[in-house]
Amino acid sequence: MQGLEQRPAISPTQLVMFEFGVFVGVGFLIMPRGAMEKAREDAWLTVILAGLCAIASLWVINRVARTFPHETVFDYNPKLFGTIIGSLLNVAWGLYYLFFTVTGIRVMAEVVREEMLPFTPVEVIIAAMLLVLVYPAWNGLMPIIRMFESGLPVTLLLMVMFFLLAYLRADWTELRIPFQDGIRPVISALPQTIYSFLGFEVLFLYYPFVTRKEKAFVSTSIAIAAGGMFYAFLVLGTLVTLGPDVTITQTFPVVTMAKTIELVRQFVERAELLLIILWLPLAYTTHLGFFFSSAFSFHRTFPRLALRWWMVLLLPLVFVLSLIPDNLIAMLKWSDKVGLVGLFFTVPYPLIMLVCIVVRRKLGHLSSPRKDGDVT
Amino acid sequence: MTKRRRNWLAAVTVILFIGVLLAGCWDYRELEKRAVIVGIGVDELPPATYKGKKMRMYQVLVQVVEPAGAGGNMGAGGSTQANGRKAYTNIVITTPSFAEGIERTVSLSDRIPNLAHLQLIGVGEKLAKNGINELYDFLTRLPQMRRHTEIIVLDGPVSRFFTTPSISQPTPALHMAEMAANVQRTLVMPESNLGVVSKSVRGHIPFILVKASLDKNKKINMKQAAVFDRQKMVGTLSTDQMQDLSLLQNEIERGLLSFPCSGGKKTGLQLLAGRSRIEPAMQNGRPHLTFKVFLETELIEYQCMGASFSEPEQIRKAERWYGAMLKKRLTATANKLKDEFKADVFRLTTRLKNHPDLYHALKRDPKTFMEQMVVDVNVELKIRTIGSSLKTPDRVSNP
Repeated sequence: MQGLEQRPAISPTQLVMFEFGVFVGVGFLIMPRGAMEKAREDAWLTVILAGLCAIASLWVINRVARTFPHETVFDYNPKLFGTIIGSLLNVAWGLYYLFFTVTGIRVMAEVVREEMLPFTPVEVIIAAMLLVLVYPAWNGLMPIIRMFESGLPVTLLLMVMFFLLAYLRADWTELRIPFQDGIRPVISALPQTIYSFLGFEVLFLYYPFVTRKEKAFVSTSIAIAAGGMFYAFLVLGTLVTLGPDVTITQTFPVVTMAKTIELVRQFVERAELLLIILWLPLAYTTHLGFFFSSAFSFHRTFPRLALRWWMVLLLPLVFVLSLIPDNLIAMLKWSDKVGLVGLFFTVPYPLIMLVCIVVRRKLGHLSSPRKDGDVT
Repeated sequence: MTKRRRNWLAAVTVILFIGVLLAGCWDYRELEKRAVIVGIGVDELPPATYKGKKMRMYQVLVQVVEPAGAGGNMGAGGSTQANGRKAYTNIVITTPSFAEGIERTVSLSDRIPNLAHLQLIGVGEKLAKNGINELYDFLTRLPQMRRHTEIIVLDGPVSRFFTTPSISQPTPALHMAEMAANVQRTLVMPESNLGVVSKSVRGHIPFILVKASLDKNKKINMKQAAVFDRQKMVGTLSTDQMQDLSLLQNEIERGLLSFPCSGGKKTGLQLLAGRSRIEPAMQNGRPHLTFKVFLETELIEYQCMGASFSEPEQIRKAERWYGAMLKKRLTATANKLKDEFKADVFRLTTRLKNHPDLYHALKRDPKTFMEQMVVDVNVELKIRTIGSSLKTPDRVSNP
């Protein structure tokens, strides 16, 4: 059984779709609560700020990746940190994406069970999702990217149109002139909000397959900006439909916002079911991206085992791990821990790498930057 | 195994999987096996000792639609179909727990309760006065609960409301839900569904619910509203007060404004559109609020005979006259409500967010804020249309 059947080639547009599909998925159903707990009415500003922080982090990631244009992070981790630490970091990447998949899938299953299929066991929902994850991932990265490319724009458009219906009943008096309580609440809500942007760091993994590397930063920035606008739109929606006091008490504030939609009295009674139907493709793309990235990470770290075998091995592992937490609240604690690891991989880790690159260059272990635009 | 045989085997396996996975819902239940609950009536009973502990006791009435009796039930009497089967069943349970009460419908009706289509929650007055906190928690915790579910206060025995027949709806719960929705749409009553209650409870803001009562002919009417503060009913509003409060709260929808013209005669102005803004200010340490109400109306009745509206000045005169009357009325209502309830019935807590000094003062101590608040009202009333008639008939022709 082989790994990737052919070398992937990701165009700038495909990179936008792929990045957007990977990080916009499950977290946004919960994100308004975390953002509003501290920032209250200014939560939408926190989202925008988090997006800018993500773009800043992306800039560093891009600088690092450009140094090794034909290698993945798994190839240059040992070069920069030595074989032992580098290999440990490679394993950490695989585990990070594995647990990202685990937490995402369990949260998705909980939402589906709570809102749509109350009597269906979580195990069945998770198993069904895992089976459809393997199918497109089987033939490597490109089928996944093509799937994102073909499905995401329509899903996103329908979702925005759906949530605009909630805006019809908005109470705009809930809005407030920004920074009335100072800038501190906006900043203190930042860590929980940044979690929802995690995923853009897959650029570390797939940078060698990007066809026009000089556009990688712009493409990924567009994805982050689009995701940030979508998040801000949702946070604003929960603010003007539910208000901050209700939002911070809801398990899934965005689902509760969908419950405020009533098109024709007693005709469309449970609009949240429509939301679940529209949201599942977004959740699916996220699971798919992370699951494949996990298998890809392990495959690159331990190349003796083919990519497909890694997928086959990880599938039952995801299933079992996702069933370990007793309930959603316990799983959200896992999510927080995964988010912390994600923060490490997006903020200090790329900075440390950048420092290592500079130091290694000074020591003459790395070649100096060329001026052809391909490397720093 | 040849490649062709392997592909054939894979295809068969996939088809088998699809067959198993897509054959039907995991938890599929026939409609007849579900107790579709359309209304819940809850009232409080005297406390009782339950499992060794003294607890609040509730009477929970669950109205379940009967699928066999509901279809086509539009005839007089409202509760039975042509074939004689009732369109609904009321199940009454005495319980200290709402969830337990609802769940007991399984043993009383051999069906699984489903609250996804709940249209009405009727709260007995005794429960309303003692506090709806436990009921609120139960209702808002359920994922299948809709935020548009109407919630009203019932002035009288709950069971009587849930057995009053309707000529237009198959069940009394649907009848009351439709009435409550129409009252809010047409009689200028603030919105009062579960979503609004939730927002108010979480924001520690008083809220208003439609109050239903039974008249002498045992017909349901909704002419009053109940005021809640800290999840307890603290008073009642008349129809006029409800209307005035809606105008002040900026919840202006279609409705009729009635004014005296002369000799006990009436003028009727239909509301077409409008808005109410507040201009707050802190003056000498006291909150001053000016409600600026702008209304567009249509003249639909003028009982004072011999009047003409053929000249713009005559319309302007009527606008000034009725605007001044409305200003007087709204000022009186605002002062009465703030003095009576000493709570934020005007929903200022959300509307003052951009005035931090006033907002924080109100959040800190609503009672003192209301006691010190000085209210002023400015009304700009416009008559946009006078209908098909320029002149009313002469006085002499008035019998």
